[in-house]
Amino acid sequence: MAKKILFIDNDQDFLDTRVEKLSKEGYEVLEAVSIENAEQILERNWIHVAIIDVRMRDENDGKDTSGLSFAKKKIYESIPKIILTGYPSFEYVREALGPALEGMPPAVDFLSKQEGWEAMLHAVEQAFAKHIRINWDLQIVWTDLKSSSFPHLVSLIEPQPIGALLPDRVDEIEDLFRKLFYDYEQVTLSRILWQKDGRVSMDVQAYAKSREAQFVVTCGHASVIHAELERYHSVAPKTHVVGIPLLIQVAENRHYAAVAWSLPGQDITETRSLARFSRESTDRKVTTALENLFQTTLGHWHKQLCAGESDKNLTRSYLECLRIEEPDKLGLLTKAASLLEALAKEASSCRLVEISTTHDQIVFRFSNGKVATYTNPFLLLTKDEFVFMPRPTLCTALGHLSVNNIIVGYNGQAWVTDFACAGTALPVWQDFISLEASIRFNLMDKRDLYATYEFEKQLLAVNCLGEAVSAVDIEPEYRQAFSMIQTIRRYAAQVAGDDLAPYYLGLLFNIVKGMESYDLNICRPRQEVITWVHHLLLASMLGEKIDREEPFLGADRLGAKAVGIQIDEINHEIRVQGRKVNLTPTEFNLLVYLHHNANQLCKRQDIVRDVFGYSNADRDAEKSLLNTNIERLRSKIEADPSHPEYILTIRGHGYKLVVELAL
Amino acid sequence: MKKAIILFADNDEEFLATRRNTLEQEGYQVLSALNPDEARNILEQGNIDVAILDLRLMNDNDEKDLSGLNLAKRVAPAIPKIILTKFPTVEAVREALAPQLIGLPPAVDFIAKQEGPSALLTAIQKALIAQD
Repeated sequence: MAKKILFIDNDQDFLDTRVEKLSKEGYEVLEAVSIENAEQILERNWIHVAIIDVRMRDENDGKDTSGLSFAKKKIYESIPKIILTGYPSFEYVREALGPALEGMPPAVDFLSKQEGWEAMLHAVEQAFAKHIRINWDLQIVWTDLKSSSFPHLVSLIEPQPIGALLPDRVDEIEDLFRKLFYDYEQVTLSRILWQKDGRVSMDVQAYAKSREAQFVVTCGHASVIHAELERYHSVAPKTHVVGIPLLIQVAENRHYAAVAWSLPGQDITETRSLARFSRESTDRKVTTALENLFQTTLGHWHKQLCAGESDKNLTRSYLECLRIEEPDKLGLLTKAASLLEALAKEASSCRLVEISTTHDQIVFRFSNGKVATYTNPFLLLTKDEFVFMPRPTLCTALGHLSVNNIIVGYNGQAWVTDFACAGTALPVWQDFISLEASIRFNLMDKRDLYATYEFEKQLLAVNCLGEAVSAVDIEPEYRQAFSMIQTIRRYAAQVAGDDLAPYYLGLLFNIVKGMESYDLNICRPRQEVITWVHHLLLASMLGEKIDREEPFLGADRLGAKAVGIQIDEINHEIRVQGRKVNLTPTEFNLLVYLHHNANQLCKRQDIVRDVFGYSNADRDAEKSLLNTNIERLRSKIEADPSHPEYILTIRGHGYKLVVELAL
Repeated sequence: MKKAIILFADNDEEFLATRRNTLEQEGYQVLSALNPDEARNILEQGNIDVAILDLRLMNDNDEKDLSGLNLAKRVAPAIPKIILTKFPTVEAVREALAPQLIGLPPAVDFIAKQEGPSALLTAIQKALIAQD
């Protein structure tokens, strides 16, 4: 690893002599004879230290301080600079070295040419020793050079090919690791854990004389890494929580930054991505990992519910969370139409399914002859708001979980290592939904499109989010994904409630967001086409489900605003203010009883007798059974359960359900 | 607003009196010191906002007298210091302002007496702002 210096001086002779001497000392020196020249070099090249002459335009002009002005430029702030001049004055030194009031002074040292070569060498050595915290002697070992190396890392980080810049960027990223592991003698880089949006996360073992340590290192463009760290600092719990890594060290240079995380108590070499873990483990172990994830790792976060902000509805919350721009209706539909057309053509040529679309409908004709017709889901997305949707419940969440960015230890402990989308006011459903979506598209081996259709149909055949469905009809190879999704939904129901509509809406948005990356111009293998059709199919099925909630919307449009509590005893359906509420049978019976006796006192013993079928209301067990059910009912139908408006307590006697009488 | 307290250390009594006057007119409270020991005592008590230290606090004709700079290096590192001198040299500025591996440079600014009172006042203001 060479120590690189940029030497900027308009005196070519002086430059040549000194560059030769510095090269003999082992430095790699780039020369610039003008400021413009220097700027070009810095644009392309990675250097450690710059030596800058003060008078870069005219040796005889006492007012020429172009070198100093160059040194002061904000974009070069991170480069340690030595100011050089043939005309030393105390004013130059003062300008170069201080006053150290705002941030870094422009230079780290000041030299006059008269001081000679030895002084310069000393200043350069000092600059490297004091201001470049790079571990020059660090041994970097790649255990698998075939699959990963620094050039490989750069290619994963850079969105576009960078051509001739590559060698310097490779040096820069290598330096980053030498900075990050300044206190170690050797690091072993074994594998890439995940990579996403220009960030690469890998596991690193670091060794020094009497110690060794393991880290997860995430590197990427400096701005991207900084944005992620900002989010981590705003959301991560202040005390240590198992499953949330600790920030150990950050290193940065001109273009890139890297973070070293530690996972206390976890052998990182034993960890795998959740995707790999679930392929290689039993269902029970996978369920345990998910339980750990939601209970331990994220339990603390999701509990931090905050009241939905009044100026946002659920649609907007999802849009913001997924960083989708507010869709303009026409634009979205035009884009959707071309996507549908391209995908239909591709699916047809693979003989997968015939997709035909009209403005408001989408029809799938499967190869086995079965036909499914849905409302065009994109049409649904152009709606600003859904009347039946609850107000968004917001919480602190990671914003994007996937089977790739969650890593799991041998013991089933799940760790989150990606904070790029984390936030404090995200829809409470989002973490569950993003993970569920990633299971579909990363874990399900796609061979049979119709089987994925059956899979989704089965998942949608529930009345409330936490409801378990039998996996008997599911193709064996999809059963694990099916059971994982059910586990996720069970936890989602615990945290966010049983209501399906906001969950489906979020899932729809996540799926559509995923479809943004469908490239119209490339040809895909059959398996990938199945994945995309699966996206579209699921979006259509979800859209249909959401659309079915429309009747009450219709009533609303007619002006008969849905108020109070509406009970449909035949279909066992309850709506509060037009919003569908899912109740357990006991809760349902209790509410129906109270409703039959609306606006009058229902005595405790009467309720216990008539609803639960017990004769003695004084027994503690029955008392608490009633209390529990009243509490649950309130939590589902009252806007503020601690200040009930529907179910009032008549102290010492019982309860009263208050409803507005229909006129 | 509380008056900022400034230590002014200079062995040139006449110069000290003039500058003290200027600073007091600007609304600062000034403590003066005529030699390194007095300056050290005031610095160590610690309740001043800025210290102005003459470079040659013992003998104006002694090129090797860097007593003001030495105080800046060794005493009360948290108090911002401005080095003042009739004899500005490249070496002295470099030593006063050079970035350190750990902590702050010995001084926050370096002013020549020849630059006049306004340069000093600007330096004091900058030092006070940076401190807030």
